[in-house]
Amino acid sequence: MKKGIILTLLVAAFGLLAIAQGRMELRFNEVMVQNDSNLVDQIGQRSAWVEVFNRSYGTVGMEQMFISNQLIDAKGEAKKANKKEKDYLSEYAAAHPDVLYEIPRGDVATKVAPRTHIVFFADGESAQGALHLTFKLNPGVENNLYLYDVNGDLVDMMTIPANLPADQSFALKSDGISEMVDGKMDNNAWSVRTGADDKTAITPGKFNQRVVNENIEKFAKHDPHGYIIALVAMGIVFSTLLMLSILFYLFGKANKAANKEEKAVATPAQIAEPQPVAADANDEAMAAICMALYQHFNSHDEESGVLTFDRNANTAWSSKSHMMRELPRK
Amino acid sequence: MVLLDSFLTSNLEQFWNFTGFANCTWPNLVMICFGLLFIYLAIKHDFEPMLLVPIGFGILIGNIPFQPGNEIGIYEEGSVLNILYQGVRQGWYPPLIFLGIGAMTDFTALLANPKLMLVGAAAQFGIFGAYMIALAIGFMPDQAGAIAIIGGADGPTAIFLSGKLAPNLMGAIAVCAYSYMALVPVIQPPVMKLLTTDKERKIKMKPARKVSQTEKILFPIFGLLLTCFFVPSGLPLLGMLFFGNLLRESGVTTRLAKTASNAMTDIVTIVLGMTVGASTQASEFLTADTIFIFFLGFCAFVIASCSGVLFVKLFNLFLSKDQKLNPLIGNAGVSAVPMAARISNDVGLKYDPSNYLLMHAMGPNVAGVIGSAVAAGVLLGFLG
Repeated sequence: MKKGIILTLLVAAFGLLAIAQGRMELRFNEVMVQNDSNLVDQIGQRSAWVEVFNRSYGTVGMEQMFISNQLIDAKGEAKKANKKEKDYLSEYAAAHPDVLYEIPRGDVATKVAPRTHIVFFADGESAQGALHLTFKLNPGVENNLYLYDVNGDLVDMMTIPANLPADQSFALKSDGISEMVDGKMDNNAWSVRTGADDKTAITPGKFNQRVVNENIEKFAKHDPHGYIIALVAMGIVFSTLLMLSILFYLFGKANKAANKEEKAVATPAQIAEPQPVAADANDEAMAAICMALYQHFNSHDEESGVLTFDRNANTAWSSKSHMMRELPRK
Repeated sequence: MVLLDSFLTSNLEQFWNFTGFANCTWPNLVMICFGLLFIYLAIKHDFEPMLLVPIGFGILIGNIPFQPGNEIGIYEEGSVLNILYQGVRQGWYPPLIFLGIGAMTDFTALLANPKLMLVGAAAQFGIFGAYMIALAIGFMPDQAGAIAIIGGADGPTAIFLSGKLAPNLMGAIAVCAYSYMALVPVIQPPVMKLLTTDKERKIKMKPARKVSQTEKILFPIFGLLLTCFFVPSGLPLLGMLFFGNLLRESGVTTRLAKTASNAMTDIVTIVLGMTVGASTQASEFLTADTIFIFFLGFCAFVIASCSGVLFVKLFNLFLSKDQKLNPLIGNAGVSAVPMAARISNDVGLKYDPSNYLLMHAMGPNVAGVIGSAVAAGVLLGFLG
């Protein structure tokens, strides 16, 4: 019972860890502050938008995460107020909707599929749906954005330059490739996109960079005949199996040596004296005795290449016959 | 009466348009003939019946003409066939089959003579030889890799890799792989005879040593760690293969091993075979690419068999007289368990009726399973 509870708790802990791990893989990916002729929302209005990219290979639910335009020390403040971080942030979001937005529960639109994007509209009209933030972004000034996990951990942050022109976006050069350095964003990972050509296209809800399988292009260009891949791959296959072969050659040797030692330790005194066989014992009896001894000393059902007797290792837990209930007798 | 007549006529006309007769095209009929041929070969000539019957019938299912849009076809999202097909498309079934293979496979012959693993490695040259030919024909590297894996002579591996690298070619690749596996008794003996001398075919190998239970238990554990640290992309296949083998050898999970090797493998084989067959719709299958795939598959099998046999001959140059290997076991490195090993035995017996090579050939044969999964992992790592 105790073991069962511990196991369940462990499984639950690992499950939660996996979910949290997924959320930590969300990244701000592209932002537009002044949207005059770009993306429209579901009711045909244009507003600032914020694109988040799920760079993990699992679906991430964003419900109960927080997006803010200010840095909030959730841990410290929650500790001071003697509250849980989550409760503190929820209350803060309710009291200061112009600063912090809590993504509501139960909306499937906030689930982000692996390697895909989600776009929030920063229009201050959260009544329009879960994808509408409670605050706006201000053109002409520096805007900050912070993404918090459910427990108040900072997942990602970005600073949008004040001089970002209208209808231009500020985007990661490669989708999801950015890490915070000392709590600040890596400026080198970002660029302004004008929408003038394919390279600087504004791509809300889509990849910033054209996805190509670089490996295939690379091999097609540098190894058109396949010699390199054939040599390298055969080398890997050979070395893997060679190492496995050496390892089990050594295991075999060690096993042989251990068997020899065991035999050497057994003194003649330990081996039962053979009893004289009765003169009238027939061949069948001899064969039966030999067979019994052979089975006994050679762990017969563990050998290969010889006749094997299946050991009945069933218990009340594993045997069907044990578990079956007898039919009622007439 | 007139109204009833026109109502009936329009409904009958609508029904007629809905039937397979109205939607039938000649490629559908050609594919149905292929399906019937597969079923015939499997039932009449016993060519891999466990696979060719489900695949053959799947071809019939996949090529019944119908009006699209009713959630019937295998490529229509939401249809039952499409849901079953996801197991192939997303690569769920091959690792499950590998779990069963692991639970069925006895690696004792390999452990008794670990150097035979190298024969299994050498035979994988069939894959890379075919890869080079495929590139020369004009396939892109990812397509070439998917086609070349036919040389691994391992259906689940071929389906797994082609599903990842070239999903549009998967049906043709799977059918080709299983067809050639059924044709191993036709393809391999001439190659073996051609590359060996009479004296070599009569080499008698030393009997295998006894392998302890500890070694058998350690093999799947170390096998997994070693191979997957080298080639993590092979994890779905190798992980399940070694896991299945540990279930078998641990001695305490007999029930799980039995389920994995019997009921589960049977269920997955049925669904896998049927959906792979159904995925070979005429528009995807009856193309010039399919002809090339069959040609490349043949090349891959021949090269793999040759490289296995030639490697044993080369290996013998470095072995002492009493340790020499019979080159006839080289072909078994191509995987195709246990058919290829049986061929080694049969050919060996023809030249020396007292020379039983089956247990010796099982070594490279099961090493071939590991080798082809590693090779698939390498290709996936490079081209995926």
